[in-house]
Amino acid sequence: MPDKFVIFPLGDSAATIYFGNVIDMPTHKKVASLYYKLSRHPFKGMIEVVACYASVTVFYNPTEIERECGSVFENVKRKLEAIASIVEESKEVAGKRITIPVCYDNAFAPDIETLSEWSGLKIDEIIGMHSSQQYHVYMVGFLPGFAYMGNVPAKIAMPRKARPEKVAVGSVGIAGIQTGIYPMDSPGGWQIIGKTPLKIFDVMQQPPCMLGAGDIVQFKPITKRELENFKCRHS
Amino acid sequence: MDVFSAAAANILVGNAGDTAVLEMHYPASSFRFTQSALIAIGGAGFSPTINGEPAPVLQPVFMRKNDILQFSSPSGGARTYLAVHGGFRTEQWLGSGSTHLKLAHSGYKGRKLKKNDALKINEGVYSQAIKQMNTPTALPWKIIPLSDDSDVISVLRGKEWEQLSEASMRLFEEREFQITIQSDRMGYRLEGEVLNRINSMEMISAAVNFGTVQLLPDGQLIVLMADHQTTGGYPRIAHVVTAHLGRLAQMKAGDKVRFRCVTQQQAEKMLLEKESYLQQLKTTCALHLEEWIRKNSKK
Repeated sequence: MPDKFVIFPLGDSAATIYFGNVIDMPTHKKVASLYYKLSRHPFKGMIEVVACYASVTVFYNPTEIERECGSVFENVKRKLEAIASIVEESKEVAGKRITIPVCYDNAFAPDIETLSEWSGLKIDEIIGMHSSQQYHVYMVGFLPGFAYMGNVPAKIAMPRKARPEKVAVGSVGIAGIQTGIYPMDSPGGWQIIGKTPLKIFDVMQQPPCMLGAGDIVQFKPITKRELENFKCRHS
Repeated sequence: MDVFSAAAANILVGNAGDTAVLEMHYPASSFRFTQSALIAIGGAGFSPTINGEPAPVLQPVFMRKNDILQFSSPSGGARTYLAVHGGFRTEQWLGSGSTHLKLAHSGYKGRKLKKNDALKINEGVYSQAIKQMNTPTALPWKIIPLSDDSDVISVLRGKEWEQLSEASMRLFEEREFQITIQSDRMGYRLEGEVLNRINSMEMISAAVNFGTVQLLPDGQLIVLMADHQTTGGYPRIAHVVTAHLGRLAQMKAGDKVRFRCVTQQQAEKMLLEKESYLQQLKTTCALHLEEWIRKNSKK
């Protein structure tokens, strides 16, 4: 790894390799390469790996970790340091290109007014900004199939809410420079500005997640009627 | 939720610790057995009865055909586990036999149990022998729970602990936090003294764990539980140690939690001790069960 990282414990059963509090492609490439390396060559006691924007977290069973000296975590940390320091940046991940229809109608956008006040932009301008560029899928997490995408233009990059609220399936939200789609009804703190009729997570599909890290997404505005018609066609 | 109690109940009936069990809240279901079976009840307990007579908790019990198992009071905690020799037959998905209620998938038909459901039991090592037996109910061995009388929940400091003001760091360990009604298997929402950060920087989403204590922007806390998400964006000020997750899982809305910070070594020691206790139980229970089956099987 060309740049530095730190390893810290996430409780007593996981360790995080952390590259910084940034959302950018160079960092994410390091994350991806370490993620693939660990997934393909798990060490004894390792349960699973979770890749995020700028960190990789390894979950482990403390009773199965081989120990030389020190705590279980220290042993895991030594292992991870050795692996992380020889991993090379991965090549560009060739993902899918997907267009996602989104209805930005007020009926499905409970927070678009708040975002308009926060940004000083008209609702049409917000829709234009959100849907006129491509987004990179950095990671999948939070809920099954929830894709974290970026980067949202700074003018509409409104922070999360103070308290999570109920969010409906298909809702499209913004949290800082991230944008994402709720694959199911869930509590959530993102600012909701629209809704897609697409099934982002489907247990009957293989794989069940529509989006994966490396995919390129473009949102396409649709009307309320188009949203309802879409639902009829697909139900 | 209470993984240790579920494992203990499984071990009593000769199963692997992670075999599918039923997790129940009070009021819990009543069960009529349509064949003989070996069961054990773990966790809260809920004062179980068999055909109206009090039945033991953390002790294997032989159920005959048409025996009725019921639970009579919300005593002992929030969740009771029912294990059966062989395990309940559930649909496996992504390496688990649990029911995912939100997705309405896997486990038992993707939903909670309801009246008149018929649960199937997998074939275990002794299933055939058990089916042919007709013996008194409680078997002559039991688990004495590890004495754990303190109600303090041990935690490890999290990556964002340093963002708390000094006063908030103290309050976190000094004050009680109440589990609110908006709590579920995904997370416990706590209410208590408002905690403040000295730094209000937005954190980009990163991994979270079972037991992670997140600080919400309004200064209140959430403890992530068994059905927690894999990643989150709120500051992770602490993590409940794995050895105390069961204790927390047995608490319910209205209960008060007090936290105490421990070191990584202490947390690991508590967990490894608990795991080695389960391993010992497993060996002992397996021997008892084998002998009991041998003595009571028809020649």
